[in-house]
Amino acid sequence: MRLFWADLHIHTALSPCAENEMTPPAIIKAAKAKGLEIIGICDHNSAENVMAVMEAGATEGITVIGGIEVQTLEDVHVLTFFRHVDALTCWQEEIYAALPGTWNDEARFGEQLILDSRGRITGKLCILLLASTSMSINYLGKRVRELEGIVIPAHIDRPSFSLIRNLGFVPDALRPDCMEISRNISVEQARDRFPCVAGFSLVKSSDAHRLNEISVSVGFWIEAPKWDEILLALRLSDGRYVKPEETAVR
Amino acid sequence: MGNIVTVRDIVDKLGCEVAAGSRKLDSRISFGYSSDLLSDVMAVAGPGDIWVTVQTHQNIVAVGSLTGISAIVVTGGADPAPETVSKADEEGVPILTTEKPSFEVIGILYLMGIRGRKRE
Repeated sequence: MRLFWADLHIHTALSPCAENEMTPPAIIKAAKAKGLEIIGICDHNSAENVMAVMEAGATEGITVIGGIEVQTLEDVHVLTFFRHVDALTCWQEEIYAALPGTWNDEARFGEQLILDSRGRITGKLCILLLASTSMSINYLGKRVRELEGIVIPAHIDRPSFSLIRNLGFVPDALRPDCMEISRNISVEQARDRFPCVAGFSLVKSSDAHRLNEISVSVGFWIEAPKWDEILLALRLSDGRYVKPEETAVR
Repeated sequence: MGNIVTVRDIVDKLGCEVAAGSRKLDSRISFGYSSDLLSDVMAVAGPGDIWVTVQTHQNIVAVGSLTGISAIVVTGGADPAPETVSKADEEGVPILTTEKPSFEVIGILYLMGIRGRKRE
C-alpha cells in the first residue's frame, strides 16, 4: 500500500459559479501538475461532464470518481459519489425532477457548459443548477445508500450550505460515510470546533471553481486507486485510511 | 401588569394548524426568535421562546427541546416531515404550521406583545 493524493471536490464549467476554464482536459492537466492521482468531479446538482473528465483522465492515468454535489431541501450541500455511471445517471435524473426547473439566467449566474473530453463545448444546460432540490437530507442519505453510493456532507466548517451550520448537528438517520472540511481549517480545529463529527473520518477538499484552486487535499493509503479501496479508506477499514493534507490555508 | 401570551393564543391569532405537541399549548411565551440556521438558533434561542422558521428537518425538534422553547411556527406552507412530527409529539414540542410567510407571522406576534430574543 502507498499514499495516493486526491482532491475529491472539483467543479467543471457546468457549474455556473465555476470558471469556463474548468474543462475536462484542463482539470486533468492541473491535477497531474499538482501530483494528484485521484480526483472527484462534483458539479452542483448535475453530472453532465463526469464522463468527459473520466475519458480525459484515463489517457493521463488519473482516476476520476464521478459524483454530484446535491443541494438538499434544507440548503445543505452533500457530495454523493457512485461506483457505476448508470447509478450516477439515474441519480442525476432524480435530482433534475426535484429541482424547481427555473431557467438559468446566464448574465446573472454564469454559463452551464457541457463539454467533451477534449474540452469542446457540446451544449449548455438550460435549467438552473444553483437551487435547492425538494429532497430532504434524510431522504438523500437513504436513496444514495440504495444506489450503493457514498454520502459526504460538504465543507461542514463553512458558514453557509453546511450540514453543521444549517442543521446544527449530524442527524441520526443520515449515516454519512465521511465528512468534508474545507482548506480553511485543520483536522484538529475541525474536531475541536465540531464535536459532533467524532467517529467520522474527515477528508479535505479544494472545492475548486478555478484551475489554480485544484490542490493536494487528502491522501488515500490504499492498494490501488479503485472504488473498493477508496471506500475502505473512507471507512478506515482493513488498514486503509484517509489523511487530510495539513498545511491549512488560513 | 404584563401581558401573558400562551402557545394557544398564538394558534388562535394566526389561525394555524397544530401539527404536533397539542398537549403543550398552555406554555407561556417569553421571547420570539426567527432563523432557519439551526446552529444559530442553538446559540441564541432560550426557554419559553416562540421560534419562527421554514426549516422542517427533524433536527428542529432536538434544537427546540435543547433550548427549551415553547413552540415552533413552521411558515410559508412548508410541511414538516412525518418523522419530525412524531419526534415532536414524543418530546412534547408543539409545531404550528401556517401558509403565512415568516415576515407576516413575526409582525402578528410583535403586535401580540412578543419581543425578540437578543443574543447574549
